[in-house]
Amino acid sequence: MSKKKIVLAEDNSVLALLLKFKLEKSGYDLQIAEDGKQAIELIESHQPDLILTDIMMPYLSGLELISHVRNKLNLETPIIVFSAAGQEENVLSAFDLGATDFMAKPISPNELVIRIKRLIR
Amino acid sequence: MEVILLKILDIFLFIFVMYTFSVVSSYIILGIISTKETVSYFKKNSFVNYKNIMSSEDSPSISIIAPAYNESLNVVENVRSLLSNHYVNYDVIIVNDGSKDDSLEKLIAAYDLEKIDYLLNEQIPTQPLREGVFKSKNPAFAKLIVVDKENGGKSDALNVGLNISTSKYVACIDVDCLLLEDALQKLVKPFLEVTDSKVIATGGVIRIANSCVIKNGKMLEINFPKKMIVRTQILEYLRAFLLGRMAWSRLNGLLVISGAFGMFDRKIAVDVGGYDVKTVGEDMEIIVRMRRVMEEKKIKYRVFFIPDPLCWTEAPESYKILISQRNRWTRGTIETLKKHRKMGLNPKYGKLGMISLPYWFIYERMAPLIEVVGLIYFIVLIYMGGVHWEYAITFFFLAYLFTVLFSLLAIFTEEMTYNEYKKKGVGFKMILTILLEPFLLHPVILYAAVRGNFDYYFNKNKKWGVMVRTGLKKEDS
Amino acid sequence: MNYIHALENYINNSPLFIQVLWSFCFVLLFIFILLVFLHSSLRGSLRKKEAIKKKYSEKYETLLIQYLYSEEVSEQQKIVRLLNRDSGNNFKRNSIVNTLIKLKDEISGELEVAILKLYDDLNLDTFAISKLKSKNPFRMINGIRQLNIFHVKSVHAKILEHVNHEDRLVRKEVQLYLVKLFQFEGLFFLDKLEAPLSEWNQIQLLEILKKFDNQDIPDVTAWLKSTNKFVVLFALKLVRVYNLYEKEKSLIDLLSHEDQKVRLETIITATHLQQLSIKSVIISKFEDISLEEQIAFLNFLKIAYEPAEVDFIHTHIYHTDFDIKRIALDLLKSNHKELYDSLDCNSEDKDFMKILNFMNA
Repeated sequence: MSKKKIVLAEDNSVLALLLKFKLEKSGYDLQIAEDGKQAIELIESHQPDLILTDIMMPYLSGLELISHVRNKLNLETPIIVFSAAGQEENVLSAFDLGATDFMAKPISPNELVIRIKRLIR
Repeated sequence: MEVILLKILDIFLFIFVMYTFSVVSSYIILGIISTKETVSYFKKNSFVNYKNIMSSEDSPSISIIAPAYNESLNVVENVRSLLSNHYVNYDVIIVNDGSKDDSLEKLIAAYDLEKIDYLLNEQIPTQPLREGVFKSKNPAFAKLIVVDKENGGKSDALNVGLNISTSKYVACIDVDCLLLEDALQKLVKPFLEVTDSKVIATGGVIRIANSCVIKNGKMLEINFPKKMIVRTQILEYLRAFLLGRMAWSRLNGLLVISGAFGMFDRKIAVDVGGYDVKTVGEDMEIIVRMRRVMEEKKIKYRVFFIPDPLCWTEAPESYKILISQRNRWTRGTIETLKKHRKMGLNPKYGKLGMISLPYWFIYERMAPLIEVVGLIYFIVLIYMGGVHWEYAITFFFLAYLFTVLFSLLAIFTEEMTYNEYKKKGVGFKMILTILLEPFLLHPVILYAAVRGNFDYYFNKNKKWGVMVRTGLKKEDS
Repeated sequence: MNYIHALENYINNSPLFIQVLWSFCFVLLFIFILLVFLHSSLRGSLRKKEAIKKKYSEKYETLLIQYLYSEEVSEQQKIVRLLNRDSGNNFKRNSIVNTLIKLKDEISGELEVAILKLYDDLNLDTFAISKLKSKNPFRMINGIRQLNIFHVKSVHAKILEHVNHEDRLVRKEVQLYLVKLFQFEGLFFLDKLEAPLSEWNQIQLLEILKKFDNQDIPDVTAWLKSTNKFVVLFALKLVRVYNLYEKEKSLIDLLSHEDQKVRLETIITATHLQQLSIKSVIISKFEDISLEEQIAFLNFLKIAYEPAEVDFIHTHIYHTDFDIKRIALDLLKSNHKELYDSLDCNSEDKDFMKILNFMNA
């Protein structure tokens, strides 16, 4: 069976590197996008099984990303949103727009893997 | 007769020497203060953690107000970049100032806008609304408000924005500027940080974006342009911002915040009556008026200037447009100084009346005229055969060296702090620009300033100079 | 040679004034040439520095991730030895610390613990602690910040000494350290604080407090009574964020505080908590308070209106302020329809008519 594909939109390079290491070790294929627009390109070309995105991102915010995936691409791909504390309003809008799950930063990579496993088997 | 003429020429000479001497000393003083202040700001702010402020819902609310007139070409992209600033509690108010193109239709389509009922509190009288007030049906664009109104000019459009906004602070910007994503946090910081006086406005550096690569509203690559006309303007901006305004900010004597990028306490801006629709120098005028009101009310206040490169704009690439831009700036300065001349040398207005305004009058407003008179004087002398050439040449040489050294100081400040032009080979080009600028850019600007004076006094109906946009270069789209 | 000779001759034979001017020129020219060389070497060294910085941060990023995910103790020890050797050098140590910080803030769980342990194993804290004695505020800030990020609690007393430091940036760093590491206990620096506490710092502190699991806030009464108005303002924010309903009495006292901003924030706080008892206090002196306070109070009535206040509302529908007028009319319309319908629809007051027309539309 082929590896499950995941697209990660995150602008902190070390965190991206760490999650790539962790998730690849857990048996996933991870593509990293530095901003929202790049993420959309990756999603369109790779058809991932799951999307991870930060809410605050350059140019195209996480909210717009979700809206694009759900409304323009009409995809049901599960989306996990990362947000810094104190952005409750943004998290609510994210769920309104169709986010599947959310994790507050700082993130625990182990917890992330568990949540991913629950969403895609 | 001859004797009287010679006497007059002597007096002229004395005035010129004194003027030059005072210009040089004031530049040295301002230069030293600025360099110190810029470097210290840079050091202090390398420790700041902006994360909590940008994501906190307890942070004060900010409205970005961006007037747009016939910006159909770029408006959708530009709004997108304004919407992605890293700050939670803000909205974006786009005021469509009676555009004749399809700006509004494009915005409605791109952002899923619908008309809403809106009870407008017309605190500042303005031109009426045209199509009304629009908001997005898509929660992803909840921050966006678009107002469509009858044409009334930039000031009038900004005033509509001030009427609509309910935020504590407003950031007034040109819609075609590229705002970096941390612009709001950095500009609002002085308002929140100063505890011993009321901060009424903050402004930022304007950087020149020609030849830079911009993608997704993000500065990807900063390039030193090829065209000499742009290069010399870069030098001029660095000198003005890093060496001039920074010192005035330190002395709390700042009179101008660029219309392209400034933040105000909304209540104070509204209370003083908003932007003046009768001047072409509305960005300077509102600051002078706000300061005036604060002085009259005897409230301790500050105007701050932030040296961070947060706002990038396109500079004119043709002499014709450059001249019309500077012509307008000159008229704006004259109008503002004239409108507020009562404060000049009036001790009731403290430092503002005794230092800032007189300085601005003598060294900004009068400088081009004095220079022209000086040139005429020189020609008359040549004609009369009264030139001591060895004096003239030494003076010229000295003045040139001084200008060049002053520019070099600006470049040094930039390199030691932000160092935006990192690429190899640019250093040499910068030095070349420094050496040529007095011959290439300065005469043009002098000409434009004289034209501005002429138009102000003899050509009252002069319209706004039209800036032909080539659009910020984008990698895609 | 002839030219130089001629120049020398010319200068020697010139008047003194010209000689002085020329010497000025030569000095400036000399400085210019010197600066041009300096400039080019400065640019070169800045570029080099940046490249080295990047090289090292990439090296340490990879090493750090190897360390964190390594399964063998021997490999981990090897990495620690390597980093230990590098940490003797100032530049490399800074690069190591910065790499640790960049990751530390973004992750939690066992990896975070592992990073803290690595910081400890490398004895990096001793360098940070030594900075506390520095006269240079920037060094102090840097030190306190590191101790904060890597949870070094043992220097608590030393840091508390600087709570009223003359440099506001140092004070801020001290506050962040105390609150981040000691949570609500850390807030007791407010008892000692004599210096201002800016809005910026207040927001930072609140954001830190909001992230703790333990939300048992200590008693804020003393802070509400503080003689430092900044402490009072901060305490009001705490009352608001933590819904401290039982502070009603203190709020009423603060309504007559000498500082306008404190009074305004008190009304906003009371609004948030719907503390109805302040209403009669304000109504009794409504004409004497500032416009901002008046508007804030009308906003309070908007959410907590009681029919007994009909007279108050009715007298303010012609108030000069647009917002007050609008809220008063709105309340009248939704609570006293008859009274509202009987209003004269031909008022001279343009704003009044505008609001009426809007509400009737």
